[in-house]
Amino acid sequence: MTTESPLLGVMQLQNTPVTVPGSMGHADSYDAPVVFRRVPGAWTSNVVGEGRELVPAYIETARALEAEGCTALVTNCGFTARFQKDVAAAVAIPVAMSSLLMVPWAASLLPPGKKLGIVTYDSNQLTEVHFNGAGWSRKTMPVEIVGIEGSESWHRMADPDTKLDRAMVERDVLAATRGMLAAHPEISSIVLECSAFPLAGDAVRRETGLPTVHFVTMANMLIRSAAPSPRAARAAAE
Amino acid sequence: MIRPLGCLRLNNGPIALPGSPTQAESYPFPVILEGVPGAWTENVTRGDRSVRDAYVESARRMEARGCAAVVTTCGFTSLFQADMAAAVSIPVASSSLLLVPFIRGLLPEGARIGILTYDATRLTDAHMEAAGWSPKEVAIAVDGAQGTESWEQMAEEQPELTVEMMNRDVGAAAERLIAKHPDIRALLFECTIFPIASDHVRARTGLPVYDYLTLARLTHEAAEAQNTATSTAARAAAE
Repeated sequence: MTTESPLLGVMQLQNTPVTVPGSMGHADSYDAPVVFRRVPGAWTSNVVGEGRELVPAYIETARALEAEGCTALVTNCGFTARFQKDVAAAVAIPVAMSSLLMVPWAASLLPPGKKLGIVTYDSNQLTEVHFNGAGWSRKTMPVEIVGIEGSESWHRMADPDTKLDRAMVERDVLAATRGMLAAHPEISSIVLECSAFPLAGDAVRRETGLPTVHFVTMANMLIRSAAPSPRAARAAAE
Repeated sequence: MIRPLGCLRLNNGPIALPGSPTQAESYPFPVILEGVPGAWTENVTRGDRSVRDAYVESARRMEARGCAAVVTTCGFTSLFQADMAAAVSIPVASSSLLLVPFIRGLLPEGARIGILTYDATRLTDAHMEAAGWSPKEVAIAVDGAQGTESWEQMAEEQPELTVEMMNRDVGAAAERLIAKHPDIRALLFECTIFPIASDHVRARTGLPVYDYLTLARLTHEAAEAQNTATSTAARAAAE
């Protein structure tokens, strides 16, 4: 089946998706119609880590969504950045597994001597394997990284039945961001890694005055840029 | 109150077509368009660095006027990216060439980015390196509108373009490039007038097209409001 209009596919963890307005699990967050699909076997607990056993499940989910007419795909866990090349090679439509993909762009706008601040779900578990998956290395990128580990949002997100609200995410993300900016006043731009953090995007931008991008920013850029009828589907139909 | 995007434009006359960078309707937020003294298609695309200070001054003026971010209507101004970024405290995105490392990150191994520019004979490694990447490290292929009717019109003091002309010339360049490099998996338009043809090229080639408006929206969203959909949802939730 092919489609002639944009359709975004979101590959979700098995954890209960957060669906409050402005979140990645809410259809109104996107500039196009959206299909949500859970990835078999993918949980916060095993996606955040370094195992590769989930690659086939992400590939199968991506192929199924492409066959259903999706014109671009994202996930709801930025730690899947390490599967970016595998999934991108398996489908013809654009795929963006993680907002970490926006880091090189955001860094290229920095004036000399400034840094990019990344706020993540868990800074102890975000490593070079995730950065490499998103196409860059910490060795050459001017970034500082902070996480919300230990916070109430962090505990809730590890829970299979994830229950979050905007106020809680704003509080925990702002606290981490403040600490990072106090330690690194040279930070002049922010990338939010975690897919729950778009809920805090406006609050971070308002409080810090710094440009801030996140998963929803990227998902909308991706779906607006995608072709209405992907090349492979066209070739198959002709 | 949404702060506007500041757009530093060439002095060539405005193009009143959907997707044109000089049409306020091309932006889903307020925009201030201001000509940069001495900047025209002809000299800027030929790498004239004498207009650098004028771009820096214009960027400062946009910041003073309350703009959230600064873009320009000529992707060849990547040459002035670092100077403009250093001169103001708001984000500056001079050229859609800045999106290349992001697009490369999206693509699988072995895939290529097709870059379509106003004039492929004038786009140099220096323009790319000033945008933060090197053609030695990124698999690209470049073609342009050089020699076409659109190319001639874009250099006119008062360009007379039509959607049909842009679709024809940009579409043909895209097809030529893809035929030569079947491993192209995404297209990037350097030229800020090419978004007039973006939807046509997306439908014609089946490939994603990243362009000047992609960059303008992303940069403004980063600095100011959320995307329209999210803002609408947030407003509805607040009511």
